[in-house]
Amino acid sequence: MRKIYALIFVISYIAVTVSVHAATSNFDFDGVKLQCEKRNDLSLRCKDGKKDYFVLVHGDQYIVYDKINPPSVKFPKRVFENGKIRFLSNEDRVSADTQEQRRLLAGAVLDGTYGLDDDYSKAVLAEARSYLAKTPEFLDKVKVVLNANETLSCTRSTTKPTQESGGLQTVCSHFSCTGNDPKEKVLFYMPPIGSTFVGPSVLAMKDGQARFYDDNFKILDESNSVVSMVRKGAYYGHDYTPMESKIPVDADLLIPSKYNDSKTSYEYLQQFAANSGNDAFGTRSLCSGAEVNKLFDQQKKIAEEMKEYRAYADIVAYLSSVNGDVRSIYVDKEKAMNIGCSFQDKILDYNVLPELQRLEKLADSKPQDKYPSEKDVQKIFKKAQSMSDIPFGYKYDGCYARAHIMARRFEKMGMKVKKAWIKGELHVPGTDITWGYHVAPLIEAKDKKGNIVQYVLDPSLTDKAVTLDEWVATMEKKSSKSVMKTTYPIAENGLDFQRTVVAVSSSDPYAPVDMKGLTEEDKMQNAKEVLAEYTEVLKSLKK
Amino acid sequence: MKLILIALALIVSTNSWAMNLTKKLQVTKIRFNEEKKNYDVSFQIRSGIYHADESHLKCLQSSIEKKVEVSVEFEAMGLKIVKCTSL
Repeated sequence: MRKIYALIFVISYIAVTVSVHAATSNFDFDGVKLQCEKRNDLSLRCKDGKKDYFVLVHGDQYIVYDKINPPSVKFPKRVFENGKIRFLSNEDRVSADTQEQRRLLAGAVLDGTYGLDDDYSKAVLAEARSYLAKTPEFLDKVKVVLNANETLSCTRSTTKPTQESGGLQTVCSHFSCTGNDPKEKVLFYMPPIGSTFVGPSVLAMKDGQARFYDDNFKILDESNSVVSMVRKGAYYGHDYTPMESKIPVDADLLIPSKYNDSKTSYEYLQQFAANSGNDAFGTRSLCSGAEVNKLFDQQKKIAEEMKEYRAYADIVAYLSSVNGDVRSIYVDKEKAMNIGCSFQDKILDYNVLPELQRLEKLADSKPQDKYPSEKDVQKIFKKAQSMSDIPFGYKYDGCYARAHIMARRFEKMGMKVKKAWIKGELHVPGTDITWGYHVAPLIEAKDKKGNIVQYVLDPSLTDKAVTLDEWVATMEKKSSKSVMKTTYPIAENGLDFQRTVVAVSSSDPYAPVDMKGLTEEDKMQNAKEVLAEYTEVLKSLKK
Repeated sequence: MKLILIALALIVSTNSWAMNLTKKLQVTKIRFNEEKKNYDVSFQIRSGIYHADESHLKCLQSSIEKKVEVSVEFEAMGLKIVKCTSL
């Protein structure tokens, strides 16, 4: 019997030893050799003969905790396990030098010890919890150091007691601050620790102008301990920012001169404040403090004033050559006076001068030798309506193709044809159809009194040829306060200034922006393909 | 029987409305539509405003950033983007 017990003991000992050895590896963290035992998928317990190190496996990276309370860590760049590469990186990790980062690291220990109930894990967990308990997650008073000469003292707004937010956040993230200038009102936003979406920001407001900071400042607690360093590029930013292929132009030119003192806040207030603003998580509704709510109102007022002013600001089309194409963009008129030469109602960059002759041909503003009568134009319109290979009933897209084919056919009938362009947020009345721009053939006719009248022939929208103004009036123009008439090419950012832009060109351009590389053959091929496809769509509907 | 016929008629009509087209297009602008909670997408030359949800954003965004065409499948009626793939 004793032999059996002895045998069981030996087998158990071997089994335990083998299992421990199986879970133990020799790690090398930047040259520091430790023997590590895997605890779970997220953590290791490592030893160097003198002390234990808690190691967190975070994604594919390793965090070696020298101390848990307060967290003191290393982010090794080279990690080997039993001689095999586990992690290699050249990137420098931000050291854990702020309270915010230390809280995140302590919080990560809670995840790393999840489900472990051995004495070592319990001790590590207790240390992390102890640190978290003594450093509050939400500070009520902070200092914001913008630069060596300017520090703000900020107080968090009180939170409405009854708010529920699905457990995501329950505390108001907005502070009211005082700084050097008592007349300047300052709103400070500090998202919950760990937010990677929208970072802290400062909006200092005075006399309808605003300064905005979202990087290069630091946040201190009342004892001047660094809570957070707000660095450039640390946050993803607002996901709703429009993305577009922009013309390379000095951003300052796009800001009306009146708002020169608000350069830093201009884009922020334009894009966000009038809508959701720095309220990406809906936390503004959590704030009950009167002072902070006054600041929200002030922020909204400045944003709306800017928007209103933008709609009537004195702007001018600035033309520049980008990869051979002439591109047009509205800029502040006062600022644009020194950046190029004035031509007609536009400012031309010097690199556009070689294209001047071509531009004049595209604008086609010279008087014609002879003009058809209004009656002739209506007859041509009827002919267009009967062109069965043009799917006028398909309104979602394809005006560029319809316009080009019609224009060429009218020219074959002996007409001088131009194109009418309109660009903005356009809605076809009575439908859910939205256009970024619209184009149709235009013919100039002489009325009975001998006046020259521009007629647009657009069977997709009207049942007869209508004047340019009537055609413009046909479309609902949302996000627009006024219509600006100009020459081709159309400024691409009219909507930024709440304008709908109308232009007349020769019959050659195929798109509202200049596309020099597009040959007549390319245009006809594209137009025919588009029309054939949309004809098929209409046929499929009839079936 | 009547119900089956109605269901069949509905399926046929839904299919005809859901005619999709696939084109190689270059994105020029993507803007979040606060009202519809989707993205309005503009393409080079095309006048129509197309609509996309978040799942296609990465592909569409790559077209703007790299200034290249992507393959876009969309519903011909409504211009809803149903697929976007890089070329």
